[in-house]
Amino acid sequence: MLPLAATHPFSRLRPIRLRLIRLRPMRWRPIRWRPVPTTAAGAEFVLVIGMLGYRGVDLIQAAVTMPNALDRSPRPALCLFFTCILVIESAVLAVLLLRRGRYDDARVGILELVSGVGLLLATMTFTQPSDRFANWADWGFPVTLGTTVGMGVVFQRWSRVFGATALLAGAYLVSTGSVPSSSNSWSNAVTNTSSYFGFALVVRALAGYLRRLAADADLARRRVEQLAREAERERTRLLLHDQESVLRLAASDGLDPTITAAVRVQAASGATRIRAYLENQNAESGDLAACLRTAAAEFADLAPVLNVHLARGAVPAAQVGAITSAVRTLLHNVRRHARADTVTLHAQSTEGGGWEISVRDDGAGFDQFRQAEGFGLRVQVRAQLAAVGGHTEVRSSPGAGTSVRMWRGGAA
Amino acid sequence: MTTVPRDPPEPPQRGMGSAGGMGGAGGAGGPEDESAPRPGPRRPAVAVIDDDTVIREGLALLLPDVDVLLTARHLGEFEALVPRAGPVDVVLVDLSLTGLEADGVPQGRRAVRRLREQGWRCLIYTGERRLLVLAGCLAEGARGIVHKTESTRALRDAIGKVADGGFVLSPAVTGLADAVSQIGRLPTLTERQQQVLSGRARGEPFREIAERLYITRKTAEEHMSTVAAKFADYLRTHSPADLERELGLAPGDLMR
Repeated sequence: MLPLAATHPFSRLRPIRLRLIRLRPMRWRPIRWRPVPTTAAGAEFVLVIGMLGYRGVDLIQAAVTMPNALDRSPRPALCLFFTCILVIESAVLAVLLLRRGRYDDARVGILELVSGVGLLLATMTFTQPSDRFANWADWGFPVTLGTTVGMGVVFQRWSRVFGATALLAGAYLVSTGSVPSSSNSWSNAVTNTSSYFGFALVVRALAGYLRRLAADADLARRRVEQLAREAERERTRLLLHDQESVLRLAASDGLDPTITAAVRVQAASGATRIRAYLENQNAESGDLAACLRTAAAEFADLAPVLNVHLARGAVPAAQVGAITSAVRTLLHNVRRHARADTVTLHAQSTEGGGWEISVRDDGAGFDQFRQAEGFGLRVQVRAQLAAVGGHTEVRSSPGAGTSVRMWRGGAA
Repeated sequence: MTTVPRDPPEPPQRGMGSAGGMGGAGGAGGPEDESAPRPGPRRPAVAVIDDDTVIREGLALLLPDVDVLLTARHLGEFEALVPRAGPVDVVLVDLSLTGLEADGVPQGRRAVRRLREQGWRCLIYTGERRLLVLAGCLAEGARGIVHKTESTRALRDAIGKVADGGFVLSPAVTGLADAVSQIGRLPTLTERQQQVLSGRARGEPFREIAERLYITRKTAEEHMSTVAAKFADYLRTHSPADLERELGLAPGDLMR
């Protein structure tokens, strides 16, 4: 499994980031979007994107209303200057956050808070008092509303979120304080101030929940990994336990010939079990070649030739069982009846997930017209394969070996 | 193949195998077997390089219609003995000979290369099953591969074919050649050659391939020999890593 927290959740953004920083000539490369991983790192990244998305929308709105704002501003030069400062600050924030992939560093939060407060107070210098409520000629309020969203993300403690929001709200009240009081503007000021707190607290609650969810997901994955490792260790322990005594016996001097013979038999069977264990690990991947290797592993005495280089296709679990069992049955038959010199297993994946397998021996063969097929061939091979859409063709004659071809068309 | 082997005159009827008394025992192989091809008009003369005493001394008894002219424990001994041994058609060589690397005597594919440079037709007779090792030996100019688990009949057939200038692939290496051909990397194969190769990769005997394709058994065997030569040519220009990459296998898959 991949390390969970160490990797940048959206590593494909790195080339973009590098281009931004090093100003390389851009080469167009299509980006393939894939879902953000449901890990703690993924959750942090989503929060960053949400935060920057909010700021992006603000900037677009500010840009659209810019001509109007400049028109209405008593000091258009200052208006332009501070708007540029806002854009630069947003760009620096975006680079910092995308680079880190997370927004949980209090220092960055404080920087953002200070610039938010500063810009809010600065709006007093270039806006008309009458424009300071719900008017994009003064972008101070909508933009710093986004800053409070950031406060809800960057600070983990409620008190800090509250404190940072209070600072912004305070600066906002100061910036609107010079407005000639009217009941309308007061109610506007109060509503907007409560929006700061509302946004910050709701976002803090959501971000907190998202982070807990992601941490739990990471924990669950680690636990599953750990359990799988433990199960694997148990399997290995069971396997090695018996083999240890066989090896010890085999290593001792002056062994009685009878025991030596027994040890040999045990060693051979142990080797088969170890082989099957090793091959099984491949079988989980469900590719056709692994099915044949698994089946062949138990028949080392036949030294079957495995020509499975082009059996690369994945096979669904139901077919894996049927194929493995069919090939195993056929090899049992070879062992029991054929007295063959060479057994060849050939498998090849075909178009659209199909496959073709042949098991052939050069042994005794049998008369197909006089001798009915046994239970193994009839049930364990033909019927089982038919159940998963496979076909079987047997050809044999006395003295000419036996050839069994099994196949299944693709995309059925 | 560019190597022209020494063309031996009619070899003298000597060597342990010429007595012939024991080879038929157990019906493991031998001239009475109808399905085996008749050996050529003359008995092939063989040199054996193997560190296994039983192989060195037993082959002459197991292959009664082959003349085992000399046996050697390693390449150095072979080179010392061969000038006095008379013309050899085929050098049967094992790949892993114990304790030789330290003595500086080449073994494995380096031994095969030296034998080829000296002009011998070399047939690998080995327990080695790792495909890349075997493919490497073909690339070095080995004329064929027979596994020690195969029947003595298969060994006898292989010796006959190599002695006649042909090539012999073991069933596993045939499977590798088929895979390489199926992915379009042996474009010089004719359709017939490809059909014969596919059959062989599935373990189909030449007799059945011949019946299926309406050709004679000898023609089928000749097709296969050509395929083997073309595959050896392919191996000379492709590294093991190329082979695995082209087949879409993981690095090391062919070394299992």
